Formats: sequence, C-alpha cells, structure tokens
Amino acid sequence: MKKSIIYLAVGLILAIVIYAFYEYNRGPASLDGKSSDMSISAKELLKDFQQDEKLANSKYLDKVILVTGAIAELKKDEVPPSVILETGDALSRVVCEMERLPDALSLGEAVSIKAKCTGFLMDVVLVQGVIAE
Amino acid sequence: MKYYWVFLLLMTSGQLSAQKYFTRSGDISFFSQTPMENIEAHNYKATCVIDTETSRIQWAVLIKAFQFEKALMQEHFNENYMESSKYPKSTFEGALPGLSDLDLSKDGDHNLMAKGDLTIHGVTRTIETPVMLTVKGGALSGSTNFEVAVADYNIEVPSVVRENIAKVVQVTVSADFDELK
Repeated sequence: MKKSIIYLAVGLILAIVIYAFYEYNRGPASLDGKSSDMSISAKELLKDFQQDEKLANSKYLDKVILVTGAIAELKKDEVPPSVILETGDALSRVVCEMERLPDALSLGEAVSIKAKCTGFLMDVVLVQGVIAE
Repeated sequence: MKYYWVFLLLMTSGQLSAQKYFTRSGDISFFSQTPMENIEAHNYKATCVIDTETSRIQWAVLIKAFQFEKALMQEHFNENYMESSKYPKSTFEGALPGLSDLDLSKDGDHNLMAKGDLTIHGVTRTIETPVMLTVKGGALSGSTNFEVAVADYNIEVPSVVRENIAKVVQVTVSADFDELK
C-alpha cells in the first residue's frame, strides 16, 4: 500500500517535470492548423486603423486575421520574408511577415494570408503569416 | 496621434529631394543575459524616418511583433512585462547632431551621437547612444546599441523569474534606409 503511494507520487512528479520542461521549451505555434478569428480585405483593415487606431487595436491586436488583397511587393530575400498587400493608399499598406513564402507567388496576384495582427505604424503589421488555401 | 508627423514628413518630402531617408523593415533586437538563461527577441518591422536637413530621427516599433524562440517567453513579455495591449508601441524621437553637415552622397562611415526621448511601456526617458552611419554605393545604413534598465521603465518582473531576466537589457538596432524621393 505504502509502496504504491510512493510510486504514484514519483510518477506524478515526473509527469509534472516533463510537462513543465515541454511547456518551457514550447516554440511559437504555427498558424497552419489554426482557424482565423475574422476575415477582412487589406483595404478595410488599413481603413479601420487609419480612422480610429485605438478602436482598431482593441478589435484586431493578437487576433488571427485572414486578410485578402493583391500583392504589392514580395520581400523574398529578407529573413523572415514578407508579403506587402495593396490597399489603394500609396503610403500605408498591409505588411505580412511570413513563416514561409511559396515560390509561385507573383506581383498583383490576389492572396489570402492568415496572420497575427500586431498593430499599426506606417503600415498595418501582421506576423507569423501563412498563405491560406 | 503623434505618429501622424511621420506621415506629414513623408508627404511634405516631395519638393525636398534626398533629404529624408526611411525604412519600414528596421531590425531591433534585445538580449537579456543571466546565469539562469539567455533571452533574445527580434523585431524586423521597425520604422524609422531620418531628416538629413534638420538632423531629426524618429523610430517606432510594435511590441507584439517581437518574436522569441520560446512561446512562453513571448507570452510573458507581452502580457506581464510590457503590457503590449495597453502600450502597443515603443518609440524614439530625437536628433542626430552633426547629420546635416555630412555629405551622404559619398561613401564613408560616420560616427554620431543620437540623443532623444525613448518611450517604452508608456514611460519616456532621455537617452544618448552612439550611432554608426554608413554610406556604401549610395545606400545609407545605420546601427546602434544601447542598454535599457528594466526598472527605469516601470517594468515589473515577478520575484519567481527575477533571476532569469537581466536588470539591464542590451538593445541592438540596425536598418538599411531608402531615400524618399
């Protein structure tokens, strides 16, 4: 009886230690399998931030957004690579820092990108982007 | 609202050719070293505008765009220490005295001293840091590094992880600038 309690306690502690170790070392989760919280066009997303940044922050920060737009620029050589989406505004665009970039993308092509929204500087900046199928 | 001056700067630049430089992909990283662990995070989407006529410089960076190796560190950084939902940005607004005297049309290295207001976690403090500007093949790039004492910006670190996070964090900044035409 006493022995089994000890075994149980040791097992439990071991489980906690293993869990803590994996939790501590957990890398940033890819958005691959995650569903998006909302979808919006790049143009609308920028407009929301330009009109009321505070409101847009409360609506979009940390959210996984499926953003759609035409590719204005591809930064393939940067680490990590980025896709910049057209918004109709010459100065401000939607910049998506990508987890990876498929080779097949071309300028002007309409894409949907799943990414996490981090806020607004000159552009709306999203990170951990993946191209949505 | 004060970020709008960046737009103003950009918009009024048409007639003043080659007096402003900017980037929207500046690299800001920080490094915390303790005997317990080293923590490093990178942000590749910082913006900066430099006005070579007035020697003014402004940086802005989104706290949530800092990427960590470990997800848990990133969560704690955002939620507990930087409160990034409340304070989504960090900025530096200041001057690079001597910049307007430089001839940036020629290749060369220039050492300057940046001085200005650094805002982190809603707290603004004046800092000074040496900046290296390089012109190579007509392209301007720059870098600096400085130290940030966590306590100076009212960032509270709970006692359980106090040994894991350095009291003074090393910040490294570098950028390749585009000319505003």
